Amino acid sequence: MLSASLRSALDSKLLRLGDDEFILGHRNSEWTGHGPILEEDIAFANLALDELGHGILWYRIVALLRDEDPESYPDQLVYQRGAAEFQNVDFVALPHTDWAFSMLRQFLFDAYESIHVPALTASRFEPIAEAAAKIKQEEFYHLYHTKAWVQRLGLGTEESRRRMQTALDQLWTPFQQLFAPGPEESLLVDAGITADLGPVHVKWHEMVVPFLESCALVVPDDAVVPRLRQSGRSEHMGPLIAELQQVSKLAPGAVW
Amino acid sequence: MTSAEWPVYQVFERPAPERPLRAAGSVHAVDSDMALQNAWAVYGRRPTAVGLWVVPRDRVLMKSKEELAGFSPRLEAGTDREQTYCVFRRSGAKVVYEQATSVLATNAEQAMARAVEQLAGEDCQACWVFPAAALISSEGVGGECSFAPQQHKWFRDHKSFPVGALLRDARAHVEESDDDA
Repeated sequence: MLSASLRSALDSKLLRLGDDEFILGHRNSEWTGHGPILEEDIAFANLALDELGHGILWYRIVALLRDEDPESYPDQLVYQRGAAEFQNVDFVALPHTDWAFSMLRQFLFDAYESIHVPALTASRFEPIAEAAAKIKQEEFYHLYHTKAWVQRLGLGTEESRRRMQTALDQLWTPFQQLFAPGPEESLLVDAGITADLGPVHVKWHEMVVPFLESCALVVPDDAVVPRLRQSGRSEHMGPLIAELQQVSKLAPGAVW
Repeated sequence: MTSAEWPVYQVFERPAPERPLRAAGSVHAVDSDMALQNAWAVYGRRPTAVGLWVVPRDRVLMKSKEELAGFSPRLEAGTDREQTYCVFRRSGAKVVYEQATSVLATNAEQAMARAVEQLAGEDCQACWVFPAAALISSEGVGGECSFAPQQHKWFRDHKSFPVGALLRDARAHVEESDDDA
């Protein structure tokens, strides 16, 4: 049994995890039908679908903690919360400017997940370890796919490299938010329930910096991880959530 | 850049262990690595196969039954060493190309001639040959999940999403609220 303080800390941590994945998946799903070629369109839509699915895995554990039905509660969390209630980091909500931007954002996120998720499989809270094990299976392919694209665009033409570099300059600082813990997160880390984001950040840095440099990209050096994570400051969340919830508002309770 | 400019790779899948490879379709890709990834994205997510292979289409010699009838291979005395060629056949009963045999040959034309010889008397609507060395397998790609098909995932058929009916309901709902206003 979890103490009340652990339970509350875990509840908000799970929303951060779920919302990061879900909002990123939703943003990337906007590429569906607009990918550079049909095959990549399908591949990237699959990646987006996976991230939505991972979000739902975390939401199911929220349902468990709140004694709600794990089948239907994720829908409630997605369709009935206001934009300001979502706990995702701001950069996952940034609208895509071009293919390089979306691919790089997904790559940086996949690299983070490839380190963070295996650490979560060791969680002392069984549902987290189980969810992480499922997510880990898919992340290998994600990283394989997005790495190949970052490399291709970085080492491609002058234009593709320039677009990749612009995306990196734009994403690098906001991305560091992902490694900032929430207010009560140290309780969870001490209890062995979630992973310490400090070492995750160090490993992520060790992984992505040499790789990006090998792709002829210049990594900005002014990135500092904030002391505490901040959410709900993105001006993009309002329109994103309005669109996401449009159908559910028109036909409440519709069964798909 | 449009997809028309990208090379085409044929995709093969193994439906079950110990079963012959069969053609799954084709993908566009700039290199074999991307071809394998695209093949996995397009054909690998349904639990119908245990592994995927790709081969550049320009390495595949393709002949229909009609073309084979008048086929005489250019068998110049090459100095190329013999290598293994994979032979795929489409029979009348099966719509898909399935691996029928393999032959040793110094070039594709000779491989085709030897394949036809071997398959004489069998139903052969069309035949493909290509060097076995040109096949790129998903098996070489490491990692814990590799490129294995996603057996744990089931996708609902699009017909199970009643989008038309749902949209009609939504429109009716909107009109109702407009009437109220």
